[in-house]
Amino acid sequence: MKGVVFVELLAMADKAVGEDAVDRVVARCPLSTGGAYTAVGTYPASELHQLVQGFSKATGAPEAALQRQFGHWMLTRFSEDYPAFFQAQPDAFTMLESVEGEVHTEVRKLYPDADLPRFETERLPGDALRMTYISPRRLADFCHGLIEASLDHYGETAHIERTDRSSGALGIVDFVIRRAAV
Amino acid sequence: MSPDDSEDKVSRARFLREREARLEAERLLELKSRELYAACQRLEAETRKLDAAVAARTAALSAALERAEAVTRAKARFLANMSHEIRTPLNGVLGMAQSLLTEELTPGQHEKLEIIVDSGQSLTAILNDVLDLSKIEEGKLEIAPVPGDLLGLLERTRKLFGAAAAEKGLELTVAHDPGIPARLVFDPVRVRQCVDNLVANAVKFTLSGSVDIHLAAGGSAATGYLVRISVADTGIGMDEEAQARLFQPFTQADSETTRRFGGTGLGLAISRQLARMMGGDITQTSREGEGSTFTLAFRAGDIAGLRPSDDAQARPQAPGRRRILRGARVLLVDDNAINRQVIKLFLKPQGLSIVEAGNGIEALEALERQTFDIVLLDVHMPVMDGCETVRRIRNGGAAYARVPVIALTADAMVGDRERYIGLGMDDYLSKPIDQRELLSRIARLLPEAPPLAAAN
Repeated sequence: MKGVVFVELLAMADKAVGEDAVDRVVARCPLSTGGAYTAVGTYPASELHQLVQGFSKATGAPEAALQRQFGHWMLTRFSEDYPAFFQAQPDAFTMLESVEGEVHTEVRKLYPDADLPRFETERLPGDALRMTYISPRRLADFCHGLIEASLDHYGETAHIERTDRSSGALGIVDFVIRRAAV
Repeated sequence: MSPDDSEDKVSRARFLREREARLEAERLLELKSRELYAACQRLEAETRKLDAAVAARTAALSAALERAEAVTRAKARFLANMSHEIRTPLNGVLGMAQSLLTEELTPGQHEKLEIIVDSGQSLTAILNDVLDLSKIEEGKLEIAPVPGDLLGLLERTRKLFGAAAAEKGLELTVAHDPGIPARLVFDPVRVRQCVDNLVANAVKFTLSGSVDIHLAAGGSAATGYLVRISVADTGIGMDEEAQARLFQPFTQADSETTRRFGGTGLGLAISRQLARMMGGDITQTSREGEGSTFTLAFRAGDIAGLRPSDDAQARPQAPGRRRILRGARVLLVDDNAINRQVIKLFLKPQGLSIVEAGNGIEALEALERQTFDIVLLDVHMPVMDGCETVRRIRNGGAAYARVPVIALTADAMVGDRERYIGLGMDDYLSKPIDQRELLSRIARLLPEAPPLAAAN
């Protein structure tokens, strides 16, 4: 898991629950890094789950909700850090479609060993897009948040229908995103 | 918070500065990584461009090489064709001239005819040289080692050039180291060609003094022998520059040499190639005005390594068994009327009876009609060529299936002989046909008893 995810999770938590609460959660989690992450590093995905669990306990909010909220936060950060990429895509569907081919290709240029999830996309009749998230990391809620935030970024409203088709260790989740008629 | 609160604590401002610095470092690292990636991409593109350039250059070079090789092959083919074209009319000229020599002539006419025959034979020799060289360049010449007598070979060379040397007042000697095996395995045709060339040159370029041939051999029966035949003269010699040019085809020491001594300058080039093909070389030492020594080195095998039959095959036929030519029936097959005329002029005076055929079909018809003692068969003919004709003679199951056949051809390439024998010919003669050669080859293939007596 790329370090930027950890850095941003802690930044969001700082903002949401305050630095002292974050320090307490971090102190309770048995993290290999002791909670010191850098955006350019790579860390075990299990530590992300530990942190999310820790924040869930500390705030009483469900893990799924936290992941989804984190998806929103993350997309905002991406749009601030890589504005050119968002400007190049005219709407949320083309942006989501470009994740696998363009975004992940760019990531692999900088981090050839990055262990990235796979996204499959397919346009469906009636202004809809099916986006399938395939990964052993089980971060479908985080994805859900990212998709919602993408739609928000382009000022679009849509209905998202989610189907879990996971088998064994591999998480497979379909998101059917149907844009509301304007 | 103030700095002196505790040594464990840092101020908020300091913490924010540090965090900002870390984030900046991360951004910088990512930027540098991206630049590094771009640089790598550029390098890879450059490498691909270079690879493509190398591939293009290599392709261009191999295309050029292919063209050069094609030109060489075309040159060799041209030489072979030219030689064929020249041989056929030369055969007519030499044949007629040789035939005229047997007629009643004034001494002046006789002398002129001899010059014609001499010149024709020189021309034949040059053609043979050109053909040998093109054959070597094409890689088609093969060395055929058989058991042979080296000293006998040198003795024959001495006899061949004895008259020419004596005419110039030169001494021509043959000597050898002790203990050289009486018989060794080598290619006598090619060794003879090299030695004759060296001796011919020595005699040609020596105005007074001597030409000394010396035979030496190192090695043993187990390892094989390295034979060294040196030819030392007291001739004009050469400076170093001339020596360097010596082995180039069509090159002589200088143009003055060509004017004074003649020759094509092919002999040494061919001889050196032959020597190298026989596992040796030709080397020379020379001082201008003091003479030259040329040494032919080649590998020879021991006779013990051979099956007895190999040696028996190579042994010359026992002399004294004279065959009688008179009355022998010859079928002469050649599409060229002049060639037939030449052969007839050669054979008629010897009392042979001749039936002519213009191609293979006519030849087979003649063979059906009557019995022949020998067939002289041209190889290149329209309608049915000599190769197909001999195949039909041998495989047709007819009464004449075993009639002796001598191939006649202008294709005097080395190795052709083996090819024609393989096709079922009994012997092979290259044009221009020499009268004595033809008669002796015919005699060798005729039955020992007079054919007419046998028929009766």
